[in-house]
Amino acid sequence: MDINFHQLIDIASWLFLAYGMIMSLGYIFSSIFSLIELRDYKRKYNFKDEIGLLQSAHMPMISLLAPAYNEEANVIENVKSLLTLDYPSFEIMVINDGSTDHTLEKLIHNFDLYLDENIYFKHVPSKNIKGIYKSRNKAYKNLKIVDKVNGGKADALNSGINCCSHDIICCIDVDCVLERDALLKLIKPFLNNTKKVIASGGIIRVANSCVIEDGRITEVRLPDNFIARAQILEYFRAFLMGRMAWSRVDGLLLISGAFGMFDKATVIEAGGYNHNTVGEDMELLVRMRRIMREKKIPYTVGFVPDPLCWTEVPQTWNVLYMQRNRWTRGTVETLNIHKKMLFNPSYGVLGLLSTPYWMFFEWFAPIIEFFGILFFVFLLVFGQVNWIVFLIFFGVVYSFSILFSITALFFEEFSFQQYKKPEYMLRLLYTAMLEPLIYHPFVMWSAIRGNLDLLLGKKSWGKMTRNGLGNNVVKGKS
Amino acid sequence: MSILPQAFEDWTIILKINFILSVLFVTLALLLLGTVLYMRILKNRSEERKKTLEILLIDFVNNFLFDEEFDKSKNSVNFKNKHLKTPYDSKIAITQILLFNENLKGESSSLIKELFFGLGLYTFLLKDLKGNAWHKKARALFVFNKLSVEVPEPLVVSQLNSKREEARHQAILYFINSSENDPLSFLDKIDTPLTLWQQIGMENAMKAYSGEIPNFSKWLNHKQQSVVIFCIKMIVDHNQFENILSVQKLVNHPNARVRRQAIVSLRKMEIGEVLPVLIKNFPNEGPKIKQEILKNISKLGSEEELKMIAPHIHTKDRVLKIEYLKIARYFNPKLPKVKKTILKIYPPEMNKAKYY
Repeated sequence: MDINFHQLIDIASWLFLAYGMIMSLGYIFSSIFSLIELRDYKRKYNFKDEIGLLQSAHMPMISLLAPAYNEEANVIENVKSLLTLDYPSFEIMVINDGSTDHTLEKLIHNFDLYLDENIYFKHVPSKNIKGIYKSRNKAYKNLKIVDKVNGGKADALNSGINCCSHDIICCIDVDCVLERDALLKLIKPFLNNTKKVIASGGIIRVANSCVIEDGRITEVRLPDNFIARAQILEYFRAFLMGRMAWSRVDGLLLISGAFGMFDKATVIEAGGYNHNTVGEDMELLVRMRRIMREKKIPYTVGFVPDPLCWTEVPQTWNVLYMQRNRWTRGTVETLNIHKKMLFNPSYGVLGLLSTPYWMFFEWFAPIIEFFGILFFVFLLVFGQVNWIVFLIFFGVVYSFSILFSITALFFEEFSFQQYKKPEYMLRLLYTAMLEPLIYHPFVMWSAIRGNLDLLLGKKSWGKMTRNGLGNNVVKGKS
Repeated sequence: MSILPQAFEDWTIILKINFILSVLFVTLALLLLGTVLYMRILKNRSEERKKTLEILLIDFVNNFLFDEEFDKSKNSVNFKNKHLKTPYDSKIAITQILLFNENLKGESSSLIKELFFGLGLYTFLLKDLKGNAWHKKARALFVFNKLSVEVPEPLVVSQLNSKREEARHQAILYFINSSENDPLSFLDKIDTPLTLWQQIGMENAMKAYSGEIPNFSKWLNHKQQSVVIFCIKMIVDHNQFENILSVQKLVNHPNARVRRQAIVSLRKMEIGEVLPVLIKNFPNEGPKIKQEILKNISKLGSEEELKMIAPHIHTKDRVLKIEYLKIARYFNPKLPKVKKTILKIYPPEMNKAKYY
């Protein structure tokens, strides 16, 4: 029995070590690629004239799609903020996804809307549209409101795709705060490539506690809430390190649903957003890329690291749990739908690198971690824990977590340095020390439950309550 | 001897590896933390240096421009030797000079150029232009272009077909702005496609160009489609109606993107004469061009012309049918609302179209 235990421990130890080493190597490579990509980006756009873009008569026209469900509290302010974005030619399409509050009435009243009797075509599946409204006021001539039967975010975006006029669509969350030049920056990959660009994504930043004035972030502040701070580190890692690296090797599989730009024709060709997954943003991009690859059309996906879109992240464990549970289900569903791509060399980087990465390090990582903990409990129960071994294993995992977070802080410092006060950096460092002990196990547990819920057939998003960014708003002078 | 090394010797290989990794990670984390702090200190220092130098530069440039008793050459050399010691200092000086240049015209502008040379910034940037780093080359060209400073042409020509789009972009802008009477002559030397951003940059540069605007039709047979497309757009933007015939011919161009741009531009220029050709070509075109042709008929044609293409809209072309119906209603608002109209023209398929 004793020998068996030791053999078991040895095998498990080697397996965990091997997995950990592969994961660490992956992170090291991703850091290197990100660094190169960030440096290149900064050099590339160091002296490019964005004002010149505003003056051009030949910029691609954009349709901004913003689904809204029960947003009566903030919808007017949010739409007004969207109307002031800098871009020569764009339309805003707010999709009222069967709100049960007064979202639509408020929009109609505030923007002087009338029912437009025009013909639209259902390019992609969506629930019935009750009406499309336009404004009588010329100041809002680029505003359209689509009123439809409730069908969820994917369905609302599909309705927007069906009703919008322009060739480039930009999908956003209506409650996000966009930088004034967000569209001008996000369109860059479309302008700067001789290859066909099918999508372009941006970095999402955490808006909690930031000061908002006239619908714009005027001061970046670090939240007092630990969960929100931990997510700041997480977003640094995911966007500044992860997605930048994937962008470098043209292997991006996810453009955040909060802010992404797409070539409408390719979206339609791919069939629009999938109603049957809770990870519709990831699934759409994977499907678009898959189609392009299968049709052998040269293409690329762009990524812009400038801080362009600010969003409120969960501040309570319960909401965080629901979000991460959903993200896990979305990832697994997407990988399952596109399992054909896994390890398939005909999909190039996507088949050999991106999808295996997502499978092993996004889907399997929490499961393996969970089994590691179970294994530890098992040893504990049978009195087989060697505490020195435990401490050393814990030490390597903990030190790597800290290293990873500090690397993310380095990337933030190297790139855009949004958290300027030295006090903020110290607090983020403190958060990085606590995160592996408090935040990470919780996120892992949410992912485990996500896997279980998926097996049990759960399809819902869960009720995502937000505190709202209203407390951070400084009212405009006008 | 201490206990730890003895214990370490007794550990299994896996423990040793893990222990070494822990130490390595902690060391790296500390190093990186140190780097972050160092970067922050460095940035703060750079900012301070920038502020100080900017104040000195503003003062110096003002004296240089407006003080008639100021010994320009002597003081320039002194300033350069005393304050512009590092490449970072030179970059700050260049930025300031560009700012002054943007706000000054005439004699002051030429004095700014004199200052640019006097501070050794021309030599500094020329070195960058001759070097290997693409971003430095692009930056040098950007500054030369903004200040209208001439550099040896071969150095710029070599950048026209550079691997880096940014260097190509700046070379293009340099040629447009530095040319006195033929701003687009460089197009003959272009072997790589123009990106949309380059086209927009060229469009803006052409708007600001003070010399005679060239005849864009010269490049309508260029080997690069993007150049042809750019020239079609410019013919419209600069109202070169004398080139309408040349643009009209492009609706039969072998490349679909060129054909599409020609159709769009002819619509903008309101050239209805091309409609018979477009209607004739309609059956053989792809969906995107068909939509453009429909738009041209809507803007420049009649209901009769619209009806002429009706037989060529296939039952599967639902999007085209919707477009067709929108235009039909535009020509004849009394037409019954969609369903009836659709059923009349295309019975079963059109029911799938939605009318809201």
